[in-house]
Amino acid sequence: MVASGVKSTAETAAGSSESRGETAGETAVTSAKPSEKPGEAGAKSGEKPGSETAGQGWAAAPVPSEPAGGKAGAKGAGQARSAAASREPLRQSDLTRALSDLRDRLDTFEFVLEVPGVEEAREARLELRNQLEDYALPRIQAAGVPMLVVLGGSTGAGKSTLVNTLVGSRVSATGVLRPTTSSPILVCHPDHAEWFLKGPMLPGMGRVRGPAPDAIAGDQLVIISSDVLPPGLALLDSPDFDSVFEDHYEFATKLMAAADLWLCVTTAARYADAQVWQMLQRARDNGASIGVVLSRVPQGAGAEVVDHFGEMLAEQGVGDARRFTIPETRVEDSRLPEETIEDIRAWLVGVAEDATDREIVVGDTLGGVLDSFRTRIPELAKHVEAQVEQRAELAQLVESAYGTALAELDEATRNGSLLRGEVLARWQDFAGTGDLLRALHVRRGRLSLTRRSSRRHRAPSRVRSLKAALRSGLESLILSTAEHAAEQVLAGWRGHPAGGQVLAGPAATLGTASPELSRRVTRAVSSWQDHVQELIRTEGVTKRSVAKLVSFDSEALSLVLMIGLLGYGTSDVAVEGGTSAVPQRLLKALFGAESLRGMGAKARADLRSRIGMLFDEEAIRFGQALDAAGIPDETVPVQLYQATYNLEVAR
Amino acid sequence: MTTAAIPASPAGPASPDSAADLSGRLTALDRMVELGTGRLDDKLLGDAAVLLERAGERLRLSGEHTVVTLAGGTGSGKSSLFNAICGLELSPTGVRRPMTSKAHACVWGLDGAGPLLDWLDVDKRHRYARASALDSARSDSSLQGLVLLDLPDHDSIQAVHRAEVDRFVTIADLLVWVVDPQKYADAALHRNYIVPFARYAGVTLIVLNQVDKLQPGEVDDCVADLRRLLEAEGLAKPRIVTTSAASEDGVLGFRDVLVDTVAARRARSERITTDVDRLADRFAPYRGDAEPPAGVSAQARTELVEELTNAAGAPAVAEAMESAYELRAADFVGWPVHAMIARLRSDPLRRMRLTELREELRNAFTGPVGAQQGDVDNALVRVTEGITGDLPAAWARSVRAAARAHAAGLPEALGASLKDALPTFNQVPRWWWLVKTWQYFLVLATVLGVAWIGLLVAYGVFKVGGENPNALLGEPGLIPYVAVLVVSTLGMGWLTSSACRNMVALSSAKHGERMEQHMLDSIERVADSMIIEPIADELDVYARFRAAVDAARS
Repeated sequence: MVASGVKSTAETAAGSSESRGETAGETAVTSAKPSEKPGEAGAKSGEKPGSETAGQGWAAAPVPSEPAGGKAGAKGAGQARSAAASREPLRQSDLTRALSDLRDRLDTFEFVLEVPGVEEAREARLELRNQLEDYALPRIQAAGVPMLVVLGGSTGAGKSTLVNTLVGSRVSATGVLRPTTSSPILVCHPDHAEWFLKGPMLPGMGRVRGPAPDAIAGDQLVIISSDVLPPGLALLDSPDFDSVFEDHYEFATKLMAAADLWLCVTTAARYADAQVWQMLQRARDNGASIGVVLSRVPQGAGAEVVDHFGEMLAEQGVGDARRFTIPETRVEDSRLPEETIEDIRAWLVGVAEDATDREIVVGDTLGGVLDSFRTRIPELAKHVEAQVEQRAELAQLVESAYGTALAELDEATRNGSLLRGEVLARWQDFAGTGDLLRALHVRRGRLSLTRRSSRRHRAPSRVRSLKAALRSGLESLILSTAEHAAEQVLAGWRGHPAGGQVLAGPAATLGTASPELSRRVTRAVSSWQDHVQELIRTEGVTKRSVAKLVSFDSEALSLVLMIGLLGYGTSDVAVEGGTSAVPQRLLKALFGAESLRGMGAKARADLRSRIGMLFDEEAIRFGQALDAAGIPDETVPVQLYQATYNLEVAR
Repeated sequence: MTTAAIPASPAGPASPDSAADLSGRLTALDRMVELGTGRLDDKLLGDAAVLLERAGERLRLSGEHTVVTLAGGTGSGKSSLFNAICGLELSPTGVRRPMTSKAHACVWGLDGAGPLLDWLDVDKRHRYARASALDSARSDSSLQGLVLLDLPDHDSIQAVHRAEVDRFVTIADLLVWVVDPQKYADAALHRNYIVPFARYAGVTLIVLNQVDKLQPGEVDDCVADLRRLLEAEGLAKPRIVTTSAASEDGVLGFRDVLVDTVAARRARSERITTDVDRLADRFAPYRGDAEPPAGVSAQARTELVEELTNAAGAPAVAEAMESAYELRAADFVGWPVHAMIARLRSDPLRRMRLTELREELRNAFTGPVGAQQGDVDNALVRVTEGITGDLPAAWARSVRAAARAHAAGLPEALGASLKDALPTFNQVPRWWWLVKTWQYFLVLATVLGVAWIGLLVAYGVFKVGGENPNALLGEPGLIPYVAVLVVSTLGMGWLTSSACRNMVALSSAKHGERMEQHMLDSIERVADSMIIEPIADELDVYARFRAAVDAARS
């Protein structure tokens, strides 16, 4: 009896299947010497295995060609599965739904940012997605189809030669030019050819009916029917995974993920190649059942190589994979001598023919794949989280830059640093020439109005100049601060590993400050000035004692209030001039301390909120750039975890 | 056995000026690094510095020797080939993979080879020498000057091997890639080594080993396929040699190529030249095609000065100073009677008990103080706009940074420069004093006139003191005359004051203009020294960088 001690997860399966328990332990430890097994395999098939005649023996074997469908599959599967037969359809539809949901979730986001490990994450996602679509979903829906054995391996390892020998005719091209096979070739029993041609397996690939092995290029799956193979077995000759053609690598991984059994073919010259071991690790991590073929083993020194290879397999954690060796030998008519592959054939046929064994292998692989989702999807979600985190960091840079800008501005409008240059000169002109005092009038009854206006000949022009100077001073301060903040953000992003990419992409159009900012600032500042004037008019209730005597011009006084607010007297220079706090004293005398404080606080808060609004609008542009870059947000990993949980529930 | 030595690339005579040329290009590269530090990508500069050091070391060390590395995948037969060339079993061979884990070196001709091997960091245990004494069978003098290195594989599961290979391929003079019929299309070799080193076609040799494993007819197909692959990857005219370490004279073709290479002694400089080529090309994006301007254009400079003038508020300062001047003048030349009347008028400040405020406000004129930082910053952004358009991004940034180098100190500097222009306003012209004296004289005359009228009224009309003691005091008929006199003194005072005001206004406008001109001049000086010159310096650095890149790429 040939059993299937193919992989470590077989142990869990063994627990549920009593019939297997007796033989599994024995065969798992069988050494890979080529001469030991063929007798048994030959006895089983009743014919001398080798040429085409062997195929008839296989075809005669009573393996029911099961139609797709959960119930029928469960019936043929034996005791272990019949117990679960009643909940089978329910479970299947739940599982299908959970898996489709998972697949859709995987489609909803992109790994946009080039952070360390993103290549792996992209590949892992593609692999997961492909495995869901190419393998898991079709496999769950069609339980009874043949076991798909994929032969993968290094270029020049002799995969095609092995397939040709197993099939018994030249179905796949062989040669000395590397790489030889460019399109994958699937060989199956004629009964299943239609299913593979139209079926749900590997939906992303085109199909071509064989034999046309030499003329096909690209992602076409060549399907050749051969009655040499038993109905329960389909062989897939995949392109290499280590040649210069990158699409071969993609196919090889895609096909590997779709395999019920992955047969890795490598050679005595290559068995230490890093790529071989990477692929083996990956197959193991993805839950595949693995077999290993070491071909082209030189005569004589073979044992040393085989032993070393065995040690390495054990070291790398794939020691329990089934092993075969093929010696270096002459290849005739693209085929190896039959005796060199007898044990491989015996093993494959043995597993494929026996419905129970086949179900176990198929079920093991499916279970292994679904198990692997438990770790692979959370890992993927971690990568997504890394992207989300990067996005948050970029957003944080924007926020802190504008936050700092606002704080700087707050400070600059408080410490008197605005009162320089033109503003100060205009203020001096306004205050020193006495125009300021002319804004105050002694109440003398109604007549005073007309008399006053005739005397204020130069005052309006000075008031206007001071107002304009204040406005432009504030404007340019806000503009330059915004400019600086935008530069900070750009510099921060440029320095950030992920930011450079966003800048190269959708954020390329971001200048330093937005073009319409200056218009907005003008509007904001002048409306603030209006607001302050309004404050003076409405809230500046003059102290009663003063009100009887003095009236005032609200425009001029609003300027005095602004100058005071901007910190007149706090900057060193003004103190040196001996005119500290003139505005404050004047205003206090007019309005009283309480009311002045209230007005000051209100005016300052108003300015702050206006500037805050301007900066928010500026910052939004960067947020939009992040959105446009398509970086996933924090909901994506949550959804992935949820989908994984749903899958676990459905199982 | 087939040992088809495919013709090597035509070997021109090693010209003496090629060495001078190379050193010139290395100097240019050095200058590029120096000029680019702090301005360009750090990684690129780091790579350039590493290359400069390596090239300097290699050029200093023995030029008589040619370092040849045998590299390739595991199991391609590097060690067998190495042993076949050496003629001795120096490097262990076997079927276990990977076999060689440390680099082995074999030297033909010992003079000066020691330091070279030390620099190559080959383990002393793995150094071998083929001195003439050892070689009786073959005349190895033809290989005199060869340093042959057998490297570990680059594709096995041992990652340290790959690191070792990476180290050696960056310092070898001639790179020999050993492939075999099974592995010649491996992605690990092509993607990691052939493509990145495609420019080194002149110092690269591909050896297709183990051709004995192929049928005789298949060898040419295999070589043609390999050639197609290499050419597709950008390796121009690849040199391919087929060997078979298994057969007696299977390595002769390879040996011939080695003999030629060693004899020509060109591999070393060719290798470094290619290194420089490759690196200089990476600098190319930093060398814009457009000829950079030498400095800020006259128009941009005018605009800058204008904006700085506004930032410092120079017109406003001048106006305020004019006002102050006129106020001060009014103290001297104004009609004191006016001032007295004004003081009698009701004063809001007095009512608010803030009279001292008036005096303080009068002293508000402190002169120019600094400039608006915001305005200055905006002006600095604009001044570079016309220049940076055509520059590569990194240089545009550095030019902007140069413009802004003194941004924080500019407001102060502008303020200080304006203060220098002030003194013309603080003087008090002598004629103000004369006018003041005249005005007070007129006031006195008026007071006397009024007193006289009073006396005339007292003595002449009301006869206060009895009979008139004096005709001038007792004659009431004089009153109208004296009144006319008083009125005309008042009128004269008023006339004087308004005439003087006009004069003051004229002279203050004149002063104002002169002061504005002064301020403009000093602002220009500040702009030149703190903005225009740094920009021009930076542009000069860029121009020199461009010249260096051109020199390095020539």
